[in-house]
Amino acid sequence: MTGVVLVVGSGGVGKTTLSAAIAADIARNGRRVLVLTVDPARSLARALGIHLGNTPSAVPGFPRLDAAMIDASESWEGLVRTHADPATAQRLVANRFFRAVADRFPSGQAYAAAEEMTRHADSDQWDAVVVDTPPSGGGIDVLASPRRIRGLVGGRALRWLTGPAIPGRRALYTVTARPALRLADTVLGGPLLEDVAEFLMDLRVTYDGISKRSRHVESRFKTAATVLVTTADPGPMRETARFFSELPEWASRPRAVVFNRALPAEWWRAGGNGGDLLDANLERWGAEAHRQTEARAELAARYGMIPLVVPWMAEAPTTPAGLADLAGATERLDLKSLGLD
Amino acid sequence: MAGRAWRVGRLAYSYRLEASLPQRDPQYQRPVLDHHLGVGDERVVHEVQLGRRHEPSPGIAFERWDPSFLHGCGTLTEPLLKRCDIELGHVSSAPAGTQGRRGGGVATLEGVLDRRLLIVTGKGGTGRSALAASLAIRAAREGRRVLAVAMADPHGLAGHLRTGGLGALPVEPHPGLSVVAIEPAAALDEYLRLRLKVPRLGVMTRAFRVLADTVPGIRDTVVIGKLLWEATRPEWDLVVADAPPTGQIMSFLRAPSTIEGLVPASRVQDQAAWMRRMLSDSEVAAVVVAATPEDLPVTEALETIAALTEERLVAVAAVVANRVLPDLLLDRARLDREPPGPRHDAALLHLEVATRQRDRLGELGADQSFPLLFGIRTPGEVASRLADYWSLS
Repeated sequence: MTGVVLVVGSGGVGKTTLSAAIAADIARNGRRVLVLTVDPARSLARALGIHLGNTPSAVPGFPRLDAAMIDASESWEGLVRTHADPATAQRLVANRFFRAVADRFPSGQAYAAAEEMTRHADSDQWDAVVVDTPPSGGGIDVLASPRRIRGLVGGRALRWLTGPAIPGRRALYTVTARPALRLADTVLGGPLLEDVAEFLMDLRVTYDGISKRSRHVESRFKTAATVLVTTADPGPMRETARFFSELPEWASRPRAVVFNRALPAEWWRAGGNGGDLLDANLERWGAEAHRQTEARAELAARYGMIPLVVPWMAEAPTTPAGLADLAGATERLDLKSLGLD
Repeated sequence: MAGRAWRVGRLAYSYRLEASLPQRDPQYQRPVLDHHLGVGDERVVHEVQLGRRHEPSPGIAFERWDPSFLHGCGTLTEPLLKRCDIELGHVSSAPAGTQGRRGGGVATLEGVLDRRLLIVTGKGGTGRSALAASLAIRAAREGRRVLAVAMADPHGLAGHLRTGGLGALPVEPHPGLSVVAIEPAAALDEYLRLRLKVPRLGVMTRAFRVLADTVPGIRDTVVIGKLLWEATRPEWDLVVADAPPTGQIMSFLRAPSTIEGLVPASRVQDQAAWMRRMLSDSEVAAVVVAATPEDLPVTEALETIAALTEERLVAVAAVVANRVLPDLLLDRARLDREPPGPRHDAALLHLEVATRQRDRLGELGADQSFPLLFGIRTPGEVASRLADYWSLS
């Protein structure tokens, strides 16, 4: 069975680089691996030196490593075409709200990532799928998205407008909703709300299919290995705390916590008393090393996990081989340590 | 505390302690000081009191600032207090920022602050919240009445401005500086009640929630609207927004014109048109784009600036670089003579990182650089430190 590695953490901590590094290392150790990114900055594409699309493509010059970048609109179109009759699917895809839901609904993009991850993991073409999660919500959004998506297509909002039964195209609006619709028309200058209601009604046709599917996606999360990336900065440390408190609801405990941009702990108070330029410089970096030591000790004390350390580098590796070296040099980031072998 | 503990309530105006330790590197004097003296860090200040750590050398300067920033100085010893009394009222000058790449006169601090709304954005992890907080602090120090607004996640701003939990009601951690978080539900309610002047609010609120859940542009418009309405209120001279990252900011800034095109002539459309005009008026609103001098943050910053300029959505007030290393003023030959060990390794890392940073800074063309603050632990300290460095000229 294909193992899933979810790389989570706050924005700017190096999730994308680490995802690619973990994947490259797995590939170099003889397994077929796919790395998926949802990062709108296309940063993984840059790191791997290729142009990515929704369809996995081979990373040039690096056997067994494939990469893809999720296109939320494309994923949603696929979902709708799978779970609705052709006429309804066509109407949905052509609807002006469709793209907005796929691209901009807070969970639309996150769910697309979860769906693509599941689809590729189910295809059994790879031994492992490594997922780089979107920066907003530090990865929790992706984990929570199946439930939120059931809320959307289940039409919780819509039910208030149309009553409990799935209505026909010309909706019989509920007694409570009718005055609001009239009022909304005045405020909005036209029947925008009714258009939305019709769109949601069409979307509800997909409910059974998407609901079942999203539960399968959730089961994938339960067996996935999560890797949490952080630095000593307050934002990432806060996200880490949030992740540890919210994760049990969706997935298993993180298999690894990676502390990125680490400095050697011995730099703290390593300086001589010469007072020259090199001492002054070491003193500054030593202060930063000390802060990191405290942050790492805090992680270990609070969560009972010794963080894996990735050293501070002048520049992240920009080739697949360099990426593989990075993960290879970090202990316990291989499939076996992640519990997927 | 024995006798003369310096309590926050003791001073009508508060003064933040700074000591001038022997100066090794002017640009980095302050972070080094923090490291020695632990200003803003209770644990370390306590050690100072017990005399275990470095004794501050003579020449203590003070800077007028916020009582809440006195937490760390809450238990100063008597000798220090006497010096405090002597030096009260001395305001230390801000350290010089590094040179802007676009040449002088492009952006002055006055020029940046002289509008109603500043929206601070940048790639995730570039220190947006810290920079927004520092800008708000600095504007308040310059005598402006400032409202700092958390547009999305309020934790960053709450930490940097030491407000505790933030909600839809403004709190005022310092006279002249208020802080508030936008809560989408409350903002939507305000939009319906005050802007659209909708009667029968309960029913309409339900209807609009359905709408806002499906048409994300509505929610984004409400958030941008909230910023702009606050910016027009006479209570504030300046509103500083801690905005979503560059990946998401464009959809917020585009939202008013999207909605304007989506709905027919109506109150909603009038409101959206008003927002679009306000945003695009550079005397009203502008964006501050932040980046760290690394590949992706710089690329995203430049893409955002290009898109903002091309679409004429909103002016760019300043481009700022964060976590910049100072020049080490050390040549490689000297480093090569240094025996292996931490002194050598720290200098080598510094040189390598600084060299990469210089290239990226060249691409970014920042108006202003902010230093990497070595070893500083609390977000509040980061923001108040960075506030010293706003000196665009």
